[in-house]
Amino acid sequence: MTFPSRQRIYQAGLMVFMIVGPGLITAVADNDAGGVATYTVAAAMFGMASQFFIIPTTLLLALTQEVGARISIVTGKGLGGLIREQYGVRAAIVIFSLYYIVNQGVVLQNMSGLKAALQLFGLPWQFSLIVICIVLSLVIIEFNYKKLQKVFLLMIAFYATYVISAIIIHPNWSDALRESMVWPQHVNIWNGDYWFSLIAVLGTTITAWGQFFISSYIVDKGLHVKDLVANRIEVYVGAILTNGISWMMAIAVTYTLFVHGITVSSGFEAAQAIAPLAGQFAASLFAFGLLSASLLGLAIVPLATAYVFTEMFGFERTLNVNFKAGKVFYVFFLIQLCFGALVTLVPAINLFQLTLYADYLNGAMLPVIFFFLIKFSTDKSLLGKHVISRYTKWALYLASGTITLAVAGTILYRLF
Amino acid sequence: MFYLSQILNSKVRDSSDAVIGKLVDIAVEYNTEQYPGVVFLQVEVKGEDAFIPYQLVENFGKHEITLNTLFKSSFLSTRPTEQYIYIIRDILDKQIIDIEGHKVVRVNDLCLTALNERQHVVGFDISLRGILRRMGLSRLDLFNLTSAELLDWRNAQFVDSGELKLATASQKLHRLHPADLANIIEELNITQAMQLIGTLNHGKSAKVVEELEPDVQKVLFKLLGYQKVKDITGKMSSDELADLLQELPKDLTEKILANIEHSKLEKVNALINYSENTAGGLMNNEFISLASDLTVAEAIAKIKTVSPDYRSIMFVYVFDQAGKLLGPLSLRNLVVADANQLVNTLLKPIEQLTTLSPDAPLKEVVEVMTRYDLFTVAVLDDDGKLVGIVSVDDVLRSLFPQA
Repeated sequence: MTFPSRQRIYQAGLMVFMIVGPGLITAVADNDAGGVATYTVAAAMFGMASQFFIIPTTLLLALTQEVGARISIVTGKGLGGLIREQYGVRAAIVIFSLYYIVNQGVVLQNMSGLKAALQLFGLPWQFSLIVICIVLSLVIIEFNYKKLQKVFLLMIAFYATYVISAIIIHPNWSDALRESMVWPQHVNIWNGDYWFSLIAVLGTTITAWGQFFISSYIVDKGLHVKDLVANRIEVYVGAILTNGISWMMAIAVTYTLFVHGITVSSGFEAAQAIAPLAGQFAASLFAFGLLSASLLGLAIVPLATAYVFTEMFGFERTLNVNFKAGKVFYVFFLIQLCFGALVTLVPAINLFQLTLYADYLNGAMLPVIFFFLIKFSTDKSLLGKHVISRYTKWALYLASGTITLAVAGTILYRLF
Repeated sequence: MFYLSQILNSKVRDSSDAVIGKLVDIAVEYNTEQYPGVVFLQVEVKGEDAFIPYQLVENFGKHEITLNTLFKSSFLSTRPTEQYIYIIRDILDKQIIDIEGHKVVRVNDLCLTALNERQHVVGFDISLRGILRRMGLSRLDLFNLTSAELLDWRNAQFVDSGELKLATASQKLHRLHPADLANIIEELNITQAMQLIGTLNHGKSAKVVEELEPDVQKVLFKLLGYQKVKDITGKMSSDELADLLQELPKDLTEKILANIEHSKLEKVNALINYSENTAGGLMNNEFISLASDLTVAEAIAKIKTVSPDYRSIMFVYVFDQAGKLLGPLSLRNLVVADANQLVNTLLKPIEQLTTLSPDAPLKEVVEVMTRYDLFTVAVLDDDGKLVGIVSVDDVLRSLFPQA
């Protein structure tokens, strides 16, 4: 058996570092405000058993992102661009309209997450929300691609608050591992609600926008076939990190709320309920985590919308040009952000109901995206020798089937 | 004139007036310099593809196409072997380069028109109106807010249509200014960008690379392969090269430095340590120096011999025996002066000589050049030795990097 030389290991490490970005940012941003809410609500209800699907979920996320990334690396085109080229303008318009609505919903979810975080900090939320939106727009418009990537990576670092809050409450680690990875013992596994919460956790980890965003981002970054392996590593690391974070989130909730039998219905309530049990510091960490999750979602999801629009309809795009040159790109960003902020500011609108619909729509969109992923990744005329292997193909079928069923199940359950 | 969207899926009748199928694609000759003529119609006949030569078409109308012959089963499954372009498969909805507009656009529709009794593709519709027409929603545009934006076939370059790749890039594209080519490359994906650069000669590709955004340069250099990188860097000017090397990973930089010629290496090394946005970072160190005791005729002779090594020459620099800079001399002053005059008699008084130190910030550079109306300004090190020249285009580039 031969070992790779030190030099080789060093070079491989360097490669991963150089292409770091798309896989990591997309995966972690999947834990946006909507994700935080789902994980905390589920963990308060079922404890660490709510994370029972953590390993398959990680694999599913990594697999679907890896296939999407591979398609874009080899063809040099984003998923949106490929749909337009292969299926024509009608398909593109239909998919984009659906996608736009889904993403507007996700923006709304994150806007309400931002509102909750601001309220937890005791700030005047209307005023702060407007200020934050303005600052966010300026950052997106003024910063170039490199700086923006650094901002995204920094925001990802803020997710560490969940890890800290999990550690400071001194959880029972072996119990947590057993519940989430071996077999849940604290819940009645014949309880239908339990299974639906598992499915909800799975559904919120894999998002429609994430599938599009990773591919557009890769094209913009100019990744090449040579980067395939390094990118795959990054995607898997990203998936493990993301689900590691949600696992920590679940721990923090389980050993405070769940063990005391307190159920909550939102991230806001969870942070409020944690304060008397684990102290103000833990609650603040939670609020801070919610804030950064919302901000990352607000920054990335409108970008993901603009990317697909420009890819499909051929307007000038890239994160590299200033506001004037990339007008369409930034206008789209601003429209989604402003609409989200306005809806959030209107007191009469039931945000909770709206964010629920956003989840349904996201779920409905996933099977469509998987259809394209399978089509493109098995098309020899597109990928040549880089078409996915037979095993990957079956894994992808299995993944798509599972997620589609899971999502359909959740929607049906919530509706009736 | 037709739009493709108006004739697509229209009925095809044979000479017995029976409907044999519907039009699904059109094959044209591959020709980037002239409008290509239609050679085959691809017609879907009961789920099968038939290929009908254009000679058999009697009438090519908006709603119907009629043939001058009866349908033969030999039309079926005889895809022509020649390399034709199928306008739906290869062009519609794909990206093309608009050579005149220096940008990459998406084809929303195509225009066909009869020239010499044969239908030819003459252009591409790249507008929003094209999309509406495709969707059958032209009527939606009640107030005619959208207008068709047409791109002439001869001003377009395909970037990826089956086998017809950039390897056959049109001469027109090659004749573009390097800065415009760079703009186009920045809009292509990495594979296409590398293909396009691969079709350029070294001199041109070096000029194009110099005009690219640093991030794009970086990505390209990592992928272009060692030989090509060597060829390109060999032709780049030393100040652009020094800027680029600062951005690249260390091992690649070392490899490049190990292979450039000695005189250039010295120049690049001299520049590489100055920080960006100072006179040192902006300047280039390719300038012509003249001894003060030369005559104008001798000076011009020297400029003629060394000229090929320089990107641009606006001024030459006159030194005394001790190597001290006496001042710049414009080509104009040299050209209008008497051939026997000594060059030092043409200089402005040394009191008027404005120079900068290498660490002068961009703001100071701009102020000095504006105040004294200078096209170029000399940069002297602490010992008073001329180390480089900042010219107005270097300053403009750093003030407006996006232009």
